[in-house]
Amino acid sequence: MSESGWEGVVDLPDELDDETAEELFERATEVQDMTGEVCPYPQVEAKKAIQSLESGDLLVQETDHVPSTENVPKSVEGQADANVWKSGDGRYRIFLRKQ
Amino acid sequence: MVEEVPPEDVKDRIDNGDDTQIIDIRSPAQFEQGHIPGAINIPMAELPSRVDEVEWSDDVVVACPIGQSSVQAARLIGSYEGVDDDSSVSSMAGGYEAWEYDLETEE
Repeated sequence: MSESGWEGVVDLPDELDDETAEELFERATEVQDMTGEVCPYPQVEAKKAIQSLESGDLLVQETDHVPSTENVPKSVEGQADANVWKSGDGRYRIFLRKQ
Repeated sequence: MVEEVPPEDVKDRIDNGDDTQIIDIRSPAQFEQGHIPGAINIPMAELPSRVDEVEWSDDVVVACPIGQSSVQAARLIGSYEGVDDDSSVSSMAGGYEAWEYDLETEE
């Protein structure tokens, strides 16, 4: 291993295919752009948003910070189910559905 | 698995003069405002490209704001080939939020 990167050391939630991700994204209740943000801001915002949502509502966070794909779902564990979509160019969408 | 060490243990290691390397992955601005004495600042985004620049000690503790991203950072450092397999790379539980001791500031 010569190149170190975040993807190999992050536990990504279940991945969504492009079509499903696009469909879900259009129906999202709330979208948060967390591009350029790092811990703990995305976790804090996710927690706040999940609290104000109804059961079944979908929160999407857009991020370019891979560790967020593990940490954000963890911060709302027990309150929301998580999936992730990879754009392929370093951006990610984290889908959090309130339980 | 990355071991998570409580801040009290980190403090003890510093007080005992152990050869513990503290890696602070917060932003340079946060680091300047105050950090664990002796900590080295490597912002999280720079860690993958700088992991081979550092002379890693056998005992590394990673600190971040709330103790979550430091877990991945510790995994990243631990997986680096320049770090011995029997080295300990751990994450400070609770991060800076849980650190109740004195901070060092840049002069």
